[in-house]
Amino acid sequence: MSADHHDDRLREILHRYPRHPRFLLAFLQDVQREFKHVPRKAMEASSERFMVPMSRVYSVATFYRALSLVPRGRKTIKVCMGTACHLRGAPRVLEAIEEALQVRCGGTTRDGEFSVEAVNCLGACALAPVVMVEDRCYGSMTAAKVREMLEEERGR
Amino acid sequence: MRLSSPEDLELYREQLLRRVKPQRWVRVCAGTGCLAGGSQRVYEALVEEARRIGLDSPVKFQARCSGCHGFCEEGPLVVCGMRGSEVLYRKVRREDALEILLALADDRVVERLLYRDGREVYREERHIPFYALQMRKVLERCGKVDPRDVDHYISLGGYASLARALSMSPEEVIDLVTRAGLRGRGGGGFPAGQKWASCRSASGPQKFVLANGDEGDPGAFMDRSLMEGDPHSILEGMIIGAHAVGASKGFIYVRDEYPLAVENLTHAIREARRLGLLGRRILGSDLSFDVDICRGGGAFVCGESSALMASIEGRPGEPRVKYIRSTERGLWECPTVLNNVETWANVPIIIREGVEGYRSLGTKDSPGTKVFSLVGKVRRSGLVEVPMGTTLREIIFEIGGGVMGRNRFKAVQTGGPSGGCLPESKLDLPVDFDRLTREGSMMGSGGMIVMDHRSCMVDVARYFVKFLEGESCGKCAPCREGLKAMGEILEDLCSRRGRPGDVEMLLSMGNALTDTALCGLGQTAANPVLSTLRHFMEEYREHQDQGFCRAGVCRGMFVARVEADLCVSCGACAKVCPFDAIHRDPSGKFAVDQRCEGCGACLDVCPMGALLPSPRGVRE
Amino acid sequence: MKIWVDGRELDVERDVLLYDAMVSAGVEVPALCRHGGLPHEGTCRVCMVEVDIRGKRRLVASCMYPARDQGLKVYTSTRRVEVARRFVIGLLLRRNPASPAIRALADRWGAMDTSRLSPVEGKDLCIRCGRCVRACATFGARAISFANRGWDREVCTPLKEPTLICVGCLSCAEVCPTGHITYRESQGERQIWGRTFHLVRCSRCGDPFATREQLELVRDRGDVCPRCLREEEGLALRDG
Repeated sequence: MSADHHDDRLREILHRYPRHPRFLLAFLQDVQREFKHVPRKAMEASSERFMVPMSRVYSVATFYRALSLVPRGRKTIKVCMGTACHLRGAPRVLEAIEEALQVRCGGTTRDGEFSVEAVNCLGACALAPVVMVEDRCYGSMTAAKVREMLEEERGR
Repeated sequence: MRLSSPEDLELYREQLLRRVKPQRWVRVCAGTGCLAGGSQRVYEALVEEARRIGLDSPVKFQARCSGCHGFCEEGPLVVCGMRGSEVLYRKVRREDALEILLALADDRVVERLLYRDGREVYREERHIPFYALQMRKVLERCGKVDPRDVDHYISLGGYASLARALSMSPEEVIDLVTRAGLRGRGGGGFPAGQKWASCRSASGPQKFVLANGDEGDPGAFMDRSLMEGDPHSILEGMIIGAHAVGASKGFIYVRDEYPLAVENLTHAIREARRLGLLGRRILGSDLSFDVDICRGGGAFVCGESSALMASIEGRPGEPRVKYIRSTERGLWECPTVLNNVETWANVPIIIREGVEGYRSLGTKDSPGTKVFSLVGKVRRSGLVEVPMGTTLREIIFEIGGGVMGRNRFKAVQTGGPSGGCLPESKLDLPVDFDRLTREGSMMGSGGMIVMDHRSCMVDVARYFVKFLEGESCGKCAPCREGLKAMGEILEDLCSRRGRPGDVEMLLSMGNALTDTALCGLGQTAANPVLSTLRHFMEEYREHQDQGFCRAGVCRGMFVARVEADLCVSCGACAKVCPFDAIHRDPSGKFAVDQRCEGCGACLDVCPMGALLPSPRGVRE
Repeated sequence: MKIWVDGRELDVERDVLLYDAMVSAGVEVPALCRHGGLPHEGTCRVCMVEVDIRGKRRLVASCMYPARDQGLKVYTSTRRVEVARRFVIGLLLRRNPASPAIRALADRWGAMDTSRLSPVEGKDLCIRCGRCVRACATFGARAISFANRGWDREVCTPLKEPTLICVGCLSCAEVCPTGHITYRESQGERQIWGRTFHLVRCSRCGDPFATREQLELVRDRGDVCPRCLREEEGLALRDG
């Protein structure tokens, strides 16, 4: 994305929201979805538009797990670590994903395609262990099914 | 098309009911669980095939989506209707679409897709034991109503309670809710009527009603299903609440991890606005009220009421000291009522049934029903709604079908990270707001995780403490520093580094943490540790003093041993052993040698349950 | 109204903060994050005491707890309170063993033994009491805040870089109880948070005494306190 295009997209997202501090988090989440992280410019722009000090923007940007200052992959693989998933073997599914992608949990693959995270309960406990990639949910995961899931995701 | 009065609403409802019903219909579950199983493709295939075979007029056939049935393990679920009867199909695949439709057109059923339990086969959802023993009031419409269609909600009686409530004075509504005994379903169990009354009598330039949809307890998905499957029931409750306390604005705070709930609620709000059920002068009354969605940012602590409010304000989700209640000074320092989404969904039911009707279910101090999320090592997992006072045994064994596989029941964890584990001896406890608390656990928001003898209670405590450590906002020292300290000791106990005095230290830190933490997260954080210490002390002692994990979970803290009498020499264990430690011995049976490192892989594959965890140094 | 503190009857105004009432009556209660000139947050939990209201007993942070119940009974040195205090001070001491202020608290009130736990890396003196952040919000330019959460929570400037928002007023350093926030001053210059400020000289005596940015801030800032600023955000909603 060129710098100009980047700025245009940022401005477009910014103007989705009225000028009130309560939209700060929603704006930053939209930015995260678009750019896979929260760039400095986005923080500065939000401080101005939503009339909040930069210190508050930084606090919000670093408090919420949904946001990251460091770029994440194009697709984020979220391995549910909820209790039901934990009991049914989620740690082994995570290991299999780390192995297949050669990346540690919390990291991003070299080609920037995938980020891997351990996340809190996704609320699909009857299908434990659960893995979510973006908004897509994969239930009853096993170490053996990991390759298939990754192939399907690469194709998207 | 605005509904400007209760009469308008009734006329509209009658109009909808007079619409010609299709002769045959299918309802595909589009909840998160079934979607994960491919129900979207099933739906598309059904629509496509229906068109192909000529079932395409609205009189002849209709295909709809519904929300979560709360039986996700059996999904994708499809309900078919014909001539007044229904049939439930489970684990439906796209390829089954044509067969289903042909059977439907012929008034037949597809036998292989029916739900089976042992030898019994069930056609209708309501006869399945899992459902038959439930009392679905809050979840009544989940799985039936199309969550994206307000007309469907209205045709099933929706918003009639709102019209009724608006004809009452705010004080009358509060009185009704108070006498019905509604208590918060999010875990706190605070009397809703009392909360509303405090807010009503507080003064401020404006008032807010909030819905807590930040369901963060791992293992719980009651709120997800409700928000996805019947969003209007929550809205209706909130509008009634706004009328009662005098609020002009509301927010529904939905967890970031529930995108479908966000979508369905957003859509429902839009539809409600279109019909004039939100906005100015609702149904012609004096009430002007509107609702917006706030999406969480991935923070469990935002389920705490003051942290939730901070998050809505566009701040970090840090709780505040609450000696002055939110009903007095809450969101932006204004009087605010916050209730869980399940609590809000109870409100239209109370208006409809009245005090006696509502109180006919449940117990004196815990009236009504409660939705539980029954998961873990249980045969039938899913959402269970029963009257309060139902026992743990009834829920786990009668509805849930008991422990899955050949394993034995060991414990049930209730209340999420704020709750605790209860052993077999406590199974006859009635589940309500107060009874479980006396035993060191709590009902909480409804999470109910069943554990068998392959679950290590020290590992469970460790799991919850590490979870909370990661979710702590860090504001107060007891939680920020204390959980780190407790987590360190528990990690040591689970990796053969336990020391004498660890158990005592966990106990004293746990109690001190409960006393000193600033918010509910910290104040209840020690419960998983304290409850397992109370009911499973021997396991802690074994971990600390012998370096032994009897459940065979904590790596290196046991060795596998073959119970020769049970061994059938299949060799499955030898195949999975990563250390090549299992071989046939002279008798022909298998045995584990000193190369065993205690990883647990063999324990789960043995079809006879012949492999057992043993203390290291104890050989056959 | 009447309340009892350690068996002694006190006559107090309704809604008085327990800590204030006790200290006025000569009762000794430890405190750390509390500062008279700043809004209270109750984060350190060192000031906790036990209250008994109609038989129900619990610990509360006295710096923020308003006395509202006639006949409220307060206990400042029950075993429960002492254990709680030692727990909190012990944890703070583990995180900041080099802080004289925490050492003093430990010497006076006792501290839980945390030698069983691994030592904490780094020489960070910050106890995350939040005084500096509150001071900056009340007297300064809202230049610093808490970043991250949980164990990793820390006070810093946005993006942890020197910021032009800071006016060098030293409010943060003045209220810091452990000496974590430091600054340097010499020859008409002041250095704090990675920036160098030029000090304005007094028009009468010529001594350098404040930064220009600081003086401008005081001149330009409104007369609304932080809590009311928050309330005003909400009012904007009502006014559409």
